[in-house]
Amino acid sequence: MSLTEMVGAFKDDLHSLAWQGSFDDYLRIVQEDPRVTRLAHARVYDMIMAAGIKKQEGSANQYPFFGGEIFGSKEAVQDLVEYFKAAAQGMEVRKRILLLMGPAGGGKSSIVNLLKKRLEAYSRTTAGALYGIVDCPMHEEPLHLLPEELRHAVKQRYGIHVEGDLCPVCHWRLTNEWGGDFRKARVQRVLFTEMGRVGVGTFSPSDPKTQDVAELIGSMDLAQIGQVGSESDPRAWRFDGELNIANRGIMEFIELLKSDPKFLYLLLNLAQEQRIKAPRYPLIYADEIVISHTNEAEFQRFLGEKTNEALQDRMHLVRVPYNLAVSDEEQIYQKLLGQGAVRVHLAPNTTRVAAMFGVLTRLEEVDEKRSLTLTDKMKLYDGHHMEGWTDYEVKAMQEASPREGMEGVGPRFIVDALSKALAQPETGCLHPVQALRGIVEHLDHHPQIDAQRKELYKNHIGRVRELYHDLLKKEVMSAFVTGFAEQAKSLVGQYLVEVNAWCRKGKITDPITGQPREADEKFMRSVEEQIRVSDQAKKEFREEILARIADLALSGKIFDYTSHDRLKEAVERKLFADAKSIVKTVVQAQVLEVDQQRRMDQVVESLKERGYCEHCAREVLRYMSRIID
Amino acid sequence: MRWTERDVWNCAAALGLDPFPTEFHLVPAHVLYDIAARGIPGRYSHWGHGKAYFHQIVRHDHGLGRIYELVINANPSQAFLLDLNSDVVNLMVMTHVLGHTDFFKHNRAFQETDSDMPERAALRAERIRSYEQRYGPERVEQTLDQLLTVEFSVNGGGYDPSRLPCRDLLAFLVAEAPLEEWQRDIAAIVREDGLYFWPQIRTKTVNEGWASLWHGKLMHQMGLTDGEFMEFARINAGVVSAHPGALNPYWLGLNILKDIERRLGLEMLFTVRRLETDASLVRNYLTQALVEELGLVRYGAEGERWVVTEDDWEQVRDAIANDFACPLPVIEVADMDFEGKGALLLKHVSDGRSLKQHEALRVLEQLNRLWRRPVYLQTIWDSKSVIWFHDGQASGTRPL
Repeated sequence: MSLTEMVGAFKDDLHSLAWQGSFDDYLRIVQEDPRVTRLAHARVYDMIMAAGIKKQEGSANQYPFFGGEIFGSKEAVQDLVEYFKAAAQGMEVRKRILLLMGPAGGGKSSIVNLLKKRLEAYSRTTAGALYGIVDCPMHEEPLHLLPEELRHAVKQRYGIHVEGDLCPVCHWRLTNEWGGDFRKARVQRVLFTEMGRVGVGTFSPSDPKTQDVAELIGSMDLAQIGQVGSESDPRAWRFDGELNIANRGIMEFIELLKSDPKFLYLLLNLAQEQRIKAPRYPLIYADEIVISHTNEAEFQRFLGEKTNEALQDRMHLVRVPYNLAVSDEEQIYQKLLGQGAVRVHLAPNTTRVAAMFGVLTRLEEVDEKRSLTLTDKMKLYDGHHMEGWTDYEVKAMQEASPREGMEGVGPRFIVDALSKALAQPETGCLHPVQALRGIVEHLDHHPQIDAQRKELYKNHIGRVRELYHDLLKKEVMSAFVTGFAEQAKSLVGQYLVEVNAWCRKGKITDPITGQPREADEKFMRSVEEQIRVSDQAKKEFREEILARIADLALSGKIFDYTSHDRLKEAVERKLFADAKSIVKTVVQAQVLEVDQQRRMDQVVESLKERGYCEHCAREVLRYMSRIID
Repeated sequence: MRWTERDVWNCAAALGLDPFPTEFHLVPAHVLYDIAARGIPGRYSHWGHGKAYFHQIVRHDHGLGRIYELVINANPSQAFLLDLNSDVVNLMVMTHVLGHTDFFKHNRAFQETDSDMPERAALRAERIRSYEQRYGPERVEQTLDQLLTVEFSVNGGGYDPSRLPCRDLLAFLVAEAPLEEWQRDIAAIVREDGLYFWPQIRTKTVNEGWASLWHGKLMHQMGLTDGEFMEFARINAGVVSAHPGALNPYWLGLNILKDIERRLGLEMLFTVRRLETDASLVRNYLTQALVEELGLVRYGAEGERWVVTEDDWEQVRDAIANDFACPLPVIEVADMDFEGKGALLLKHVSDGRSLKQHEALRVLEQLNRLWRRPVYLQTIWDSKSVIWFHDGQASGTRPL
């Protein structure tokens, strides 16, 4: 398909969606699919649920609707969905203003933008279709034309509840143009578009002295007032405020609490009565989701003022803290970095270490009595399992620090730091150490972070570096140890042989000297200590293991050490320790001999299979040789 | 969890166990430790339970000790498992618990135990709460403080007014102490609870040994992966190995029972389960070979050093058996009108071990409040017969 064809096809699609018909036609559509009459909250809720739901025991449900755009923020998303669910059922909460509260860059605007964008798209689908009266400035529900007397019968008969009254314009036309016959009204499909100012509105507070409520509720049409003569004639008013045009959809109120109280009180009416007040007009019915965002300081100030009590009551607060899960955080960076045009290679773990740092700055110190390090806490929050911690306890710990995630550095900070590091010309590739260095530099030049915090954050950098060393060691070592699996197996095999001899008080033929010898106590203990078997308990432990081997032997099976995580790790660590000297010689050698060169090339190849490029593979090897001790 | 309660039950039944029906409850640490501190779920509250609770929970929080499970002897039995435990540990605990509930059902020491203890404990707690409302929490607490000093002095089969001495100190107090009706009820409650716990104290080693023997056997049958098995072996070894500084009942009990199985067969094990208490188990079945294999000796301090004071196997065996026979000092009521002044004379039936004087005097002080007249205790101190007393003013010692 050529570009012209593609664009053409899209235009045809749009064209085919446009529909106009009589009121009777609309009634037929309604009868066939009453969903078209849904109120705004119900439509949004259905839109979210159409993408499905993933239930997880012990943690917040996941909603694929937000997937790919919003990472982490599981509790916030869950809160939001619960709000929409209750609102969709017609509960009182739909009369509240949704207020997302959280630190800068925590994802509040992303959530609002996502809702707005997806709602535009949803109105173009069959499931999300809706209709309005032609030429109504608020594209209102055509069923508003039904007189009160009829509505009751419609509800009884078809289960369709009609809420709200005609807007002043349609009301004027009903009387003056259609002579009271509402069936003369024309109906059209409504397609939400923020650009076209249909169903999606945005209000941003600016200078309180010049800003006018007209931006919300429309204004006098000076060209018309001369002709119609009366200020209260709807023809003399332009119903084009954000609250008008967002009818049936979403109105985003940017930084609600920064705006002048006169705007807030307008919202009070809308929230409580679902009506907008324009001067000299009766209250105008509006059905829309008002969603806003603010930061914590602003919100506290707002709470502190007694005069705001009425408004406080009419808000539904959703906390949107920073992400506290490393893997989610990593996805945010990948998304944000992916938006840029520059394509630079990122070595494995690069976004990971950045995410670790980001999350660490947001965590609160742990209650000392649980003897949990900050690093452990970070791992727990990322869904790792740790002995002595249930999901329930992790959740309880998180709930005990409600302010966690409201401070620290945001994704924007990290992404800026990474972008700067990426932009340095000669590299062509960014690896974790450079990323951390980039973060430190960015930190040094950041005016908003005070010295004390900088100090604290630099400690976090140290923590992350250590974690990275562990990751890197594992990666490089497994690239070095050829035939790793076999070696590990034979190590465990040897342990079992020793245990067998020890329990039976027998001898072992030493593989090297060929001489019979006693079981090697030191070797056995070196393995057992790794899995925390104490010296007093070794006898009972070995006897049980021996009984197990005997059980297995009966059925012709051999012991599979890999199903014990800690033993597996212990074996790896032991093998790595043995391989350390080889790594050092090969990597640090100034001049490589032929077979060393071959070994080195093999390792680089093996690293490339794990996502490194030639450049960063050699970089991390050099780095590794420095930290290996 | 891969294993259901039914799997574990069936496996235990197939190997010959016949436990009480057992209900398992997975609970968080604070619930488990609360029950452990009370001894019975729903039992009345007392600061002593709170003290035990905090002692345990602090150890738990610092990773110094953990209660894996708790089982209540009743029909059906109630078992509480810690939700922190890994699945493998909880499986091990379930198999272990069935060993206990099998033991509860069959061992002779438990034949008199009420099978509906949790319900009763709850009813008693309710009564104590109502006394707190009527007579004030302070008075109830004082009464409990006084009675709990002798909570396990219940052995001796009741009190016969025509016959002294009497070893059932609590039964005696219920009948003879100058108490109000509600206080008498509390005294009876303390005695009933004591009677419930007493057989458990006397069979600690054989019961834990029995449960450990069976969890060992059962865990081989549950289809664990090698990794899971290794985890089991690790935890198990920590539980059933010798611990420094104390005689680990799991270790001793398990080793004696294993030895019996080896020497005398499985059949004999079931006889042991029916008949023996800790003392008789050791006296009847701890052999010379086993004493030597386990390295059992008596030891004591000599100056700054610990030295072996006895390594003759029969002496060692008898010493352990005697310790087990009297886990608490035997105290009997000798006279309730001592020297014609209505004073109470208690007598410590000595087995060669002395009482701790400072603790004994505190007990006398509490008993004096209860008895409202001087309380005397005759005991052996420094190889001489002495009398310790508390007369309401002060405590002291006087020669016999």
